[in-house]
Amino acid sequence: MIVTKSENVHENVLKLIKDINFGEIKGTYDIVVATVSVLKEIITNSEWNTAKKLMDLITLNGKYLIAAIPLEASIGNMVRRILKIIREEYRSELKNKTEEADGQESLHKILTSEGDQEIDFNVSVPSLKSSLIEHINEFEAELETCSENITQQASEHIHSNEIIMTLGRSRLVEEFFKKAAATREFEVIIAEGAPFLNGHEMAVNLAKAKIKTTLISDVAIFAMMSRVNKVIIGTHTVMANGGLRAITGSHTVAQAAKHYSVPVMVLLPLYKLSPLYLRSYEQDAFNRHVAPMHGVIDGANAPLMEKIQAYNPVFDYVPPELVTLFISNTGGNAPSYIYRLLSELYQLEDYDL
Amino acid sequence: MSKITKKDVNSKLGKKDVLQAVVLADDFTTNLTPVQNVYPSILMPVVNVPLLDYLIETLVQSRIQELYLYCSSHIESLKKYVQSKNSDDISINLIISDGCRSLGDALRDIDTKGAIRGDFILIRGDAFTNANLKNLLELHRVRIEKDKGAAMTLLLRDVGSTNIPSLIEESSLVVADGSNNKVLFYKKLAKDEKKVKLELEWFLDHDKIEINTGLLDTHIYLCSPAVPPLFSDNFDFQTMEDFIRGVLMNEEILDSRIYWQRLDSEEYALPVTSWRAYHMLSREILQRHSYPLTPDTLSFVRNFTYLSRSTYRHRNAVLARGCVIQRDSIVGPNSMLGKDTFITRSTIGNNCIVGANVQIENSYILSNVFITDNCMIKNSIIFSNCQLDKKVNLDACILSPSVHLKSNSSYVDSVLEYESGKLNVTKISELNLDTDKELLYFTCKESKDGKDCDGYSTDSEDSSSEDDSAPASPLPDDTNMFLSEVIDSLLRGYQDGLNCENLILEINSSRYAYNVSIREVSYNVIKAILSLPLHYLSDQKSPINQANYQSTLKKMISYFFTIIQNYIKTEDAQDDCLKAMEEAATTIQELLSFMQRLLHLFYERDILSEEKILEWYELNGDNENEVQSLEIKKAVGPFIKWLKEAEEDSSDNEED
Amino acid sequence: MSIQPILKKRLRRILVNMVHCTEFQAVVLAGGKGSRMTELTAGRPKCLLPIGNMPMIFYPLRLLERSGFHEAIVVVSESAKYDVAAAVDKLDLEIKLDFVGIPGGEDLGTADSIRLINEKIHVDFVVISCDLITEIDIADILNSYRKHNASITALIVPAPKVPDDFVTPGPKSKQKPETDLIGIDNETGRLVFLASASDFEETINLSRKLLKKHTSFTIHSKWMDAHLYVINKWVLDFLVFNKSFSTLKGELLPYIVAKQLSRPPRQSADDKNTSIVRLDTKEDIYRFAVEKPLDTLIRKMSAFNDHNTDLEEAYHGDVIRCYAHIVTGKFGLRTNTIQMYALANSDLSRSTNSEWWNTLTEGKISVPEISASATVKSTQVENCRIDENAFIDEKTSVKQNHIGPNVVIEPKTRISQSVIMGNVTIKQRCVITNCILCNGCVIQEGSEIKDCLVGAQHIVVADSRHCREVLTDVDRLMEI
Repeated sequence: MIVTKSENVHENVLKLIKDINFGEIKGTYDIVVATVSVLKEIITNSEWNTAKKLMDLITLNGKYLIAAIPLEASIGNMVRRILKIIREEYRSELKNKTEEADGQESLHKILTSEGDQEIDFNVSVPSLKSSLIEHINEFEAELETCSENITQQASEHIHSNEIIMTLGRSRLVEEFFKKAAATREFEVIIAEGAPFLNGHEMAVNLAKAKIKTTLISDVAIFAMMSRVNKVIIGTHTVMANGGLRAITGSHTVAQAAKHYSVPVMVLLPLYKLSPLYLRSYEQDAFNRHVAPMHGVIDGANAPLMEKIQAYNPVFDYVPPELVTLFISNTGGNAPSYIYRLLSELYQLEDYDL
Repeated sequence: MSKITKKDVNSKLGKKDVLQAVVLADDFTTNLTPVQNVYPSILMPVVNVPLLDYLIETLVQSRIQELYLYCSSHIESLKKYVQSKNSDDISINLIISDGCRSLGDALRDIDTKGAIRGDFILIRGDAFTNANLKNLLELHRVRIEKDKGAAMTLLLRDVGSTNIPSLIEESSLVVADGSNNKVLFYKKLAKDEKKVKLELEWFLDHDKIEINTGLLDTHIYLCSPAVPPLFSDNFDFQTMEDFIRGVLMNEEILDSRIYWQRLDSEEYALPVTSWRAYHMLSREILQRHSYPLTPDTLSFVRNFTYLSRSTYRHRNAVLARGCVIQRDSIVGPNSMLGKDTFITRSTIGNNCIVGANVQIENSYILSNVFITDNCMIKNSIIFSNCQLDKKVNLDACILSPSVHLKSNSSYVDSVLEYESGKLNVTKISELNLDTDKELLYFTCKESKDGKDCDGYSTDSEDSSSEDDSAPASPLPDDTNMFLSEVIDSLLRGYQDGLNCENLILEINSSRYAYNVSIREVSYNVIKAILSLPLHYLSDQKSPINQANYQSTLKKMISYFFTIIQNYIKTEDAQDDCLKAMEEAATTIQELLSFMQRLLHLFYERDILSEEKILEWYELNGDNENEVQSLEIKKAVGPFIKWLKEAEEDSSDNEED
Repeated sequence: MSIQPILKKRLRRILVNMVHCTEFQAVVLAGGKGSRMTELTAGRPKCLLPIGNMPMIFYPLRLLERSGFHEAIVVVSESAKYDVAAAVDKLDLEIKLDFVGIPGGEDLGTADSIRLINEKIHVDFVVISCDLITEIDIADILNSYRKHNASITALIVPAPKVPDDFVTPGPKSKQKPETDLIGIDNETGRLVFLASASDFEETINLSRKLLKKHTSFTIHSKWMDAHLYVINKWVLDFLVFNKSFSTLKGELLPYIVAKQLSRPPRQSADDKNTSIVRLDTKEDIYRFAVEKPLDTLIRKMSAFNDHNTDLEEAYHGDVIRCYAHIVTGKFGLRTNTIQMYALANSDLSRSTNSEWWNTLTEGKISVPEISASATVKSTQVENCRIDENAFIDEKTSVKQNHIGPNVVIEPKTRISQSVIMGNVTIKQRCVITNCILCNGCVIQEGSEIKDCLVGAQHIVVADSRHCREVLTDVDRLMEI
């Protein structure tokens, strides 16, 4: 991967891009952690004296990252989170500072100082850096416990003797099942998730954990759905309207579940929640189309390949109305509640970087 | 699995071990006239990106840290290019040697320069791949551990069939030990060969011998440090084929062995050995077979949007209203397409301006080309900085850089270039005569689909043969009338889509009306069918040219097949049929080159028997030394040869 | 015990019966003279040579029986017909046999034999040679035949490995073992090339057609054709029509394998115009190899394809298709040479309960180690099979031997690793190691023979020493 050098981009950002592109950092969680640590690095080691400058710096690097790896929406999410943290910290630091000056006017201050536009980010606050680092460390700790918080809820959602369907492999879903299996018995049906067939690995792992597991081919999803109590899947990203960008086949599963009125639960660590919308299927970087040889057609079949067009998209879009519940690290939420979560997580002006 | 092996590889190689790749900027053998005058093979743009860019991308992905680029022509452009490319991930070193003319020379030169420190990857300039070369090199190293004399591992891609028209020249026969992939015999399957001789010893010495034919040389070779010295020691090694053959023949003396490695079926590789391969590669890149080397995922091109039906558009490209990009196409940055322009299976480079109502099919338009309204471009390659004025019509043409075509001009099957300020038009078919190798141009593909994979390409014929000087011998009146009657009924039948049975009745009744013998009937019917396309085309007011004539004739023959079958039953009728064909070929210029395909067709459809054709062919030679009959003889020669060999072949089979 | 297993068994019997009656017939070719082991076959027909004290023909018959065949046609030479019938009668097999004698004198090839009995064969059939000693289940081969609706399916087994320490009795043979070159398509398992290495001088010509059609195949030299074929009925019709083939393995099979590459002549719409003269044998095979209308229909309606790398239809549209059924890891060899014969015997004698023997017999036929009617006084008997009425005197040592009926072994004799056929008399103080003693021979006192063959009725004089020799009456050998 050749990365054209840009003067202002931090070298760690370039390294991160390289690592992700080379596949050395894989999986959304690892990417998220790496992104946060790179951004933290920028905050600690760069030259800046005002919050404004810092935010510009983060935005610049963030934009560069997003452009280089457009598919990993969680990178953008992290950039937005950090910006929000900067804002929050700045505000509270500023408040502390002014409070020290004249504490009496505090009530009035609160009333008048609503909204960011009124806050002047150009004021230099020396203590900002340390409080930022502290806050980011807290945030990192939150990320670490994220999946644990989700799996903790397993026993609330999976009951004895239930039959659960899932698709392909997701680390989080796997942990979720294992957690539930500690206290009760249930059955899992795994659709293999063609063409990548991650479901095979998942099935092996669950079977090793002594969970009753059935592996089915994707064509049997509809047929098997009638006996399923619940669908639990992971996702790659959750769009701002509550729609999913998840591996191919997810839409099939969700549709079949809808037909049989089976609830669909989606495990959602909040860093996957992105303030983006799907505008059109031709949208740049919404989907990844890999080579048809990766599981669709045998590469040795050149004469056939000459005559046909084969597509191999990695993701499906699942509209929000097919999702029953998101299980996030803060608890269960309906798709219609996503907008609230979004506004809690990110600052409105950062939605479009 | 792959993850694990990757990690293993990483730990094994360690940090200090620098992986080297040697890339020959020129391939010395490529058949891409006239590219060699414009670019070194490595800078040939494929889907708007030079091959070198793809290659560097692959090398960086495979963690190859050092790249030696061996340049022998267009040195300045290479230097400039490399300077613009330098990055931290890979160091690109140029080895410059002007006037090197073969792969052998290049490797000898590399040997004397002593740049190679360990196992390296040798890549010829026309290679394209997305394979993980590091893993492959590691496999080669494992082989070396087992066999100290393992000199080279050929990287071959299994394409599954030898019948791919665009790759028919490239598929090679590999005879190897089935247990360890040691190559015993390697050869490109030449067209004309019917038999392959293999040594009995091989079979007795090895438990199992694997014989593969659907393999494609990727032009990537995993080499031990022993390879360049081997070239130095053997001055007769010029090409890679020489090297392989030489090493295999003197395995004992040279103490070197060659292995082969099948490319993982998920990985992609295709060398640009001909325009056909170029065509195929471009299409497959657009269809994402080469993922992640696709326009929208390559980091250095960026901003391409992947749309449905494998079309790509740059964010800065401007498409006017009514403009259709049908499939397998790409429009580069800053290009503008005019109103109602139609594009399919084509690439349009950077900064091109295309006017309104232009049709572009199966064509490659490189950067900075200016095409004015109402042009028609089919199966053509237009190099950069060309300009086409209004209503230019191109079919199967190659335009060298900076060619300017005046409005309303029309070219077919030609190479157009400027020579001392004058436009020089060379027929592609004539080019072949100089180079004795056929220029594999991708339009052949169209005529080649279907069953006919034996490769009787029509464009190898000399199309500029002399004009029909001798008119057909005058026929007796009644027969002449009968002939025109038959032509009339057939033409009408064809245009109105009448049933063949009815036409037979009609012909039979005219036969009685004009009182012609049954032998004359069969003779005239064939003749009528062969001349029918001319009448039909003039009726349709379409231009009469070789391609039109042939395609119409083909359609007509399949339409009138029942009639032909009805009349050509006996051996006598076959004689008449052949005579009629001969006669027609002398008068109809367009038929001449189609003759051998026609014979083949009739032979395949059991209209004509093998014996009859051979008999006719021998007889034909004895005829009065007419120029035409010689002409025909020449035209059908290859088919006759094939026929004879096929006969021997089948009789051989029985003896086996 | 519940009644179910019995019912099941019966049901299976019925099913098996039905299937085989209508689907396959079996032919055992036992007319061979044993031309590669004349020393042994002087005394009796090859198919009756004992292996583990059972006549050779027992093995293929048992193989058929085990796979559910209830009837088989046994082709033997006319002269040996009654001997064979009588011997087989004793074996207590359930399979119904129809012995067909080939008129003596004529040295008929395998294909000729089949042609001779063509009137008895009405359906697809299994041809098995009497010298095939194996435990492989034929049912698998039949399945593989059915799967592809093959013309011929041949059983291919790895050529048996002769242990390094194994010494074949008799003089060192110069004749090299025959090597089959078997080409099998890597993807479809089709048999694309079959020849014997001795057919070629130095080079092998492969036609381009073959290379084009089968882009990846492997030619094996360490495997052998086990001479067990499942053959389509049309091949028999063709064989009857075309009299030029005399052997299956040598002529018919390579021909059919090669014919896979050719295409049937297109049927012209008007048959009147195809003159009869043009129909030479080259195209003739396609008069027999015709796809049944139902098969055509199935093929057209099915999306099945046996290969996927080119765009050809299933089986490349071939009607003639030969398959190889490869079985590795099981015991299988052809006892058509002395070496193989000795190997088969030694394999059985090494341990009395060899695994493949058990598989083959399913434990039903237990050959008592020592027959009830035999008299064994010796105390040193180890891993021996001793047949009826054999008499082994005291103070003898017999180890790892097969001792035939009516054998008399006198005291103070040591015998090891040997095959002793019927009616052999071994006098006192003999030492016999790794020998094959044919029926009726007599070993006089004090002889020491090692690695030898003793011909039928031969008398080895007293106190003689022999090593790696063939001991036989010269005139007897001349007769053959």
